[in-house]
Amino acid sequence: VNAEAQDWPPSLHVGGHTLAVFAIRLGLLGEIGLLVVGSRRADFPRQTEGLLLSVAANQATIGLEGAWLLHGQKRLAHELDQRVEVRTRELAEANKELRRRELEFQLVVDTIPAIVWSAHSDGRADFVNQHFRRYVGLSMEEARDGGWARAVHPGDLPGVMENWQAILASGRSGEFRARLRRFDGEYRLFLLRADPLAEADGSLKWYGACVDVHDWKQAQDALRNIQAELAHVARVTTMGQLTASIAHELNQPLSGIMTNASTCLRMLSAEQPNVTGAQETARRTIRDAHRASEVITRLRALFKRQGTSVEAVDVNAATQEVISLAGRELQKARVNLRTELSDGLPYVQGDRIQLQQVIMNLILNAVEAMDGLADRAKDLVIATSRDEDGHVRIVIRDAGVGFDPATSEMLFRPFHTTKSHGMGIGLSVSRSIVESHHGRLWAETNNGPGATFLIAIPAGLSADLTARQS
Amino acid sequence: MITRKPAYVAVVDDDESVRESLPDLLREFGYEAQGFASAEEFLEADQIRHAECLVLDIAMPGMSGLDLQRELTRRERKVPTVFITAHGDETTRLQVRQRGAVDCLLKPFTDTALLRAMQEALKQT
Repeated sequence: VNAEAQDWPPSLHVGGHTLAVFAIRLGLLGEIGLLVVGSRRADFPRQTEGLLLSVAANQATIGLEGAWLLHGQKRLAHELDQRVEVRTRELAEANKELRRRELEFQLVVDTIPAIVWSAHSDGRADFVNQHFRRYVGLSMEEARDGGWARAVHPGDLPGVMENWQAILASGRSGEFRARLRRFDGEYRLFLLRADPLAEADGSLKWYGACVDVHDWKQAQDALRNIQAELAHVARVTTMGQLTASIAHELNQPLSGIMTNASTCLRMLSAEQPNVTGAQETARRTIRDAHRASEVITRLRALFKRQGTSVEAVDVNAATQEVISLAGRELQKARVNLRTELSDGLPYVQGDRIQLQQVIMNLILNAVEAMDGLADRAKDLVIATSRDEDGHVRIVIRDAGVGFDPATSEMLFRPFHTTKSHGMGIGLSVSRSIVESHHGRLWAETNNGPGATFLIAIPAGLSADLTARQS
Repeated sequence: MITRKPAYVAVVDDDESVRESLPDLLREFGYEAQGFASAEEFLEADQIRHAECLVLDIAMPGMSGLDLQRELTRRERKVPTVFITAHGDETTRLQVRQRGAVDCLLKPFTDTALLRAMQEALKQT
């Protein structure tokens, strides 16, 4: 098309005829257009011209569609490029984050103040953290597989191996204690714990931690020692209250000894010595001396400063012994004692002397609670039984002044006392003794006047005590 | 020469060893003596009428020695009494004597202390 300005309108020569042609661009980017063909001739368009124009229109349409397709492809390619770029950037970020987390995790695992490790299903260690490596002074290579065992105290090693094998065989979490050697040669006590986790292939992988419980164990031991000391103080205090009874217990046989010995002497120094009588009184003297010695043995056991000792305790026998020791005290205070001791009670496991101290303390409290009672009998019931939870119970019920139910727990607080004398540690120490026997000591108010103190201790013995008992 | 029948002494003590040994010693002194396990047992016995002297333990289950003394006074049966106790101290001893007892011996006591108290008691009959 001749589109020079001087030739306006542009013209086209087709078959010896001149036609006016004009193209108009449409669309923002001129992506489509309109081709206008005109002539002043009356017979325009002729058949040939119509055919040509139709071919041109078709060509234009094809070109147009091609351009469209090309444009679309360019756009898609551009979008794809953009997406790839975004994705690549995201992936790089994710990788960076993953690496950062990995390092963070490594840092946590290595700096955690505990030993962390993992092991194959057969128990061979495949990882130990830096803390372990530094603590025991072994490299990862040295600690791998069974190498870590070098850090275990030789005395604990057989037990550790036995426990570890048992945990592996059970496939369940487990823990045990052992001493581990620090790089400087000092051994400290650790709690070792292992947990299994199933792998994708169904095999187990073990993850574990070792926590230093050395100081905790020492604190526990110290606490136990202090408790034993306090129990001893409380016992001596309790026994102090019993001085009169103790003196009486001793004076009775001593009196027998003195009278019998005097009689014996007189029988022998008579003009006609009564040898048979003298022999009998001498025998009685010995018997009374034995009786005095038994009292002293019993007292010595109660006064003895000792740690806890675990034995099979016959609760009825232990209670009876305390009652006999407190017997005079009860008599002096004019208390009516009724004992209801159940037959066939199982043994409990514990420290007999400490349990007797608790019973003694509760009896003396009951006596004191009934002191000065004038309007009713000073009834005291001491009963033993077995409850439905498999505990052996010792019940001490008095008819004394009782207590306000709202403050029943106050009674067991150390240094809480309603008495004008006494330290107020009796019930608090008693409770800690009972609790160290995995039992419970509590107080209830009676329907009538007075209070009831109850001790419940789990029945039964550990396997080794049962063996020793039989 | 008039030979007096030996004086009859009743010993009341819940402690078996005292109940056995004390009458023996008293018999060595030349008295007739018998032991009783409780105040109630003694009150029910016939010997209550013959007793010229009582040796009573103070603290006993049931009636105490002092209760027994009061009961005898109530029955107008006044018998010289020597108390014995494993509980007491000098204060108890003085208090008991103020209540009309001949003496109060603190266990363990010597044979001479007992003899002196018995002689003192029997002077009152």
